[in-house]
Amino acid sequence: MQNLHAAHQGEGGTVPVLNGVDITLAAGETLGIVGESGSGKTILVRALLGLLRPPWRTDVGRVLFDGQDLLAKSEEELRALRGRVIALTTPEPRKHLNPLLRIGEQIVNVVQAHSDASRRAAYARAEELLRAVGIPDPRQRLSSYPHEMSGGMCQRVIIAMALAHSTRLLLADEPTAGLDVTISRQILDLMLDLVRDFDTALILVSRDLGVVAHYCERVAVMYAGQIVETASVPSFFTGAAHPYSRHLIRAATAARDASLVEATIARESSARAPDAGCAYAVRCPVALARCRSERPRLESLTEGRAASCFRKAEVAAARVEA
Amino acid sequence: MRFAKYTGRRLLFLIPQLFAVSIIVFFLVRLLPGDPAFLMAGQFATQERIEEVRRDLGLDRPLYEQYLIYVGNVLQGDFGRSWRTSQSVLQDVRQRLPATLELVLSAGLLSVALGIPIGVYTAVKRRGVADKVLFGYGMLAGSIPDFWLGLILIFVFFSKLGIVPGPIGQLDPIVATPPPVTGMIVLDALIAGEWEAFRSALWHLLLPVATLTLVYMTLIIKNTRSAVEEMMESDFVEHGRALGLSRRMLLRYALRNAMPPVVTVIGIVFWFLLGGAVLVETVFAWGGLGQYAVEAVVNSDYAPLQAFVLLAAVFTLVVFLLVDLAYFLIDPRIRT
Amino acid sequence: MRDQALTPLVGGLARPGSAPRGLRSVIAFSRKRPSFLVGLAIVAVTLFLAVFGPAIAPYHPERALPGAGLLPPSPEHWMGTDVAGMDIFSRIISAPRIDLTIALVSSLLAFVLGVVLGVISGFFAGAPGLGRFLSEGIMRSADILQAFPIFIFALALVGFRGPGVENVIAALAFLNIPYFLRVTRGSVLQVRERPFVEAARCAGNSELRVAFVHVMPNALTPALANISPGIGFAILLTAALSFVGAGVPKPTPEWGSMISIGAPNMMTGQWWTAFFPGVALGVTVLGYALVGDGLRDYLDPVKRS
Repeated sequence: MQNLHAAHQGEGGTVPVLNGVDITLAAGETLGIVGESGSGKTILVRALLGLLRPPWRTDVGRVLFDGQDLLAKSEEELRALRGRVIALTTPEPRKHLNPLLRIGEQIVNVVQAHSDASRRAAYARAEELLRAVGIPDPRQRLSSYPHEMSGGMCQRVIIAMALAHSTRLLLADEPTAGLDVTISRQILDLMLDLVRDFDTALILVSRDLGVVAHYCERVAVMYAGQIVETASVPSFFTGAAHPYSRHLIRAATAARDASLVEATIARESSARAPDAGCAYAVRCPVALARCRSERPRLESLTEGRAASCFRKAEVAAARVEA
Repeated sequence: MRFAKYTGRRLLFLIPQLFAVSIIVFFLVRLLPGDPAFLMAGQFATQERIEEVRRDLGLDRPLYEQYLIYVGNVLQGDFGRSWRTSQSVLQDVRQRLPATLELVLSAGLLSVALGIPIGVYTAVKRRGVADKVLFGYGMLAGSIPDFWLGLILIFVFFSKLGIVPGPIGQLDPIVATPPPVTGMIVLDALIAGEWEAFRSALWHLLLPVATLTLVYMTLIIKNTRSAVEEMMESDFVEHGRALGLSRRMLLRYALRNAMPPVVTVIGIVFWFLLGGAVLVETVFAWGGLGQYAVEAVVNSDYAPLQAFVLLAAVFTLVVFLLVDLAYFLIDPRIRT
Repeated sequence: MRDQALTPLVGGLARPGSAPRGLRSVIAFSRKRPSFLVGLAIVAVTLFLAVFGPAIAPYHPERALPGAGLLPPSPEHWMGTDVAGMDIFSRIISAPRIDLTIALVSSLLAFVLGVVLGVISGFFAGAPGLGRFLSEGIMRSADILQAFPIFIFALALVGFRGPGVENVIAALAFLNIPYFLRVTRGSVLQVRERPFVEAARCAGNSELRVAFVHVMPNALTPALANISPGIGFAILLTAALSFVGAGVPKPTPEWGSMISIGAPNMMTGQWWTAFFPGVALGVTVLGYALVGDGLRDYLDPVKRS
């Protein structure tokens, strides 16, 4: 993604949500995107697939996939890619399943959307997928309705639908939201196994830094609609280069309880990017005068690391108390 | 829960509803100022007749016994006598019910057959001229009296253009009534293969049905449209889009999920149609129950009026029952 | 108008809560919604005619002019005359008096009773003891009443009580109660969850007091928004009843009964006898519906961004 912008045009005015997002992802890589509620994570994922429609506007920025700008493609071209080459999961699995149709039929529809499979073959594939995501008694479950299944099972179905075709990129948007710790663990393990098996690239969006630390190779931190830091996971945790990243790490390690960590991050008000200067300047303990008037860009610190902070080198080396 | 079981339960629930309705109808008659026996027997009744009515109704008994007598009578099909027609009300109803049914069912089916596609069309193709036109039509249709529209249509298409026959009932006077099978002349003519009668009946049916449809179809259009629109913007349709489902498939999802509220509206339209039918029958001299009820009101013939109100309520309860059953079939969430 | 009757059943009603105060916001709203202004204009005209109609009519609305029957519209008789020779225009502008009297009185009665019952039914829903019994009882009764199509029940009520204005008012009031009842109940169910209600209880107010002094004023919005359409609906019902002869007695000018008088003539080509009253009805009911629509949107806090 290059300089991706997205804004919501409502009756009250235009609200910018993504303010220049830059992310690069290699094939088969796992990237975790962390940020607080309201930082624009879900919008980011939807924008990537070209799913945003008016009153949303995405007129600045590009999303390059295999060298082609997805945002320049037509709806029909995108449709061919969605679900087949790039797939999506959702933080609210039950809401995103059709309540009046059986699970089997819904998966079959996804299978048949991008293949010539016969109905019977599609149903067989659906059963196979349910088994792969660890749902017990998959053949029975094909006839179940969403309201007859638990939240965890619904999420497994969503994942099954996302992996129905040999996807090259999986966008997992908070896949464990609302699920308890044990189930979350299972879901994440499952997802990572599948991703590894098929060599799929994964973008894991989460509010939980611990999850990202455990399951991802790289991490990107999002704040106020921008990516403020990207790094490999090990180098991130040994020396984060952005004050906000440090703040997140402190919050995550200080609390033993993951839910408390999430609550801490969530409680902080969702920030809007100001017209001038760094968006984090207001909360930043090491902000300079320059930070309020000039906006720092996401720039490389070392190989594979970038941060948007004028003092990134100092912060990374812990030469200042950020 | 299986469908049979649900049907059974729902039918069971119908019984207290019917009782409640019958109680209300029973008390309606008690609203009459004056001696009920005298009033029910009619202005031209002999003293004998009045006494007969008094005994039939059990007016010398306590109130709850009167009610039980009433229910007993109704269950045996005894709704009293109409002093105007000198027949039992049951006979009168038998003769007139099919006409009303024909009208209500035709108008209802036509409203649904036209209203749903139009509603879906406007939901899919937003904005544009069609939208504004429909909005205007909707507001207008909801404001004008249906009986007035009937008169206007008669004036335009009969008096001025002479396309349709005049409002003198269901058939041309010179055409013979086909042998009664269902009682509904259009169907009977079709069954008997009497094309003359069939054509005539159809032409006569045209204007009354058009009146009712024009006024009440807008309810279906509006509600279908908003239901489909809402579904098209729902989370699961969006997710379907995210997974690359075709537009056709997404539309199918939206339509399928819009069915429950639409089914409810159809039930409500039939509820409205019954009231509208009374007025339209009067305008077109249709000879159905509605006209019968109006004549009863105007002539203070109370037994038929009481029976009519009861029948109207029963009809409504049956319609709502059917809607509930349809809901059960459509929405699996109810079945748990 | 009829789908206004559906609104509480199908959804989309004004939310309870604070309404924007001030004439200025009303004016600003009206500017964005020309239909609302049109509706207000129509309502204003009908109210004016209700008071002054008969006085400014060119002919006496109930005086038949012998020999002047069935005259087409002309400079002397703007809308022509009916079969008895009564000037149609004069009768048209005199009709709002009776129609509006009936509609306003019955709507007011229905509003008051409906709101009170709605508050009781909503506030005590699910509560233990007598309250729950009352609440359930009210809802069940309203449900059963729904089994009777409104016009048919109105016909029956008037039929059994006898024609005449008071009976029409009583019938309409009774039949419109469920309308306001349901809407208020839904609103009360939401409002009673608000913190200030709990606070009022803690302050020592009795349940009844909390219900009527604290909850009710904040739950009135949807019912208020539905008064105008309710009036329009009452006018239509009155016209329908009068048309079949079960409403306002004959010589009194009333749009519905005018249509019934003019109906036979309509078919023989004298269209003006029944045409104009219908137009008057349509325009009037439309006006009240537009005001109702506008009021509903105006009072809906979600709309104001």
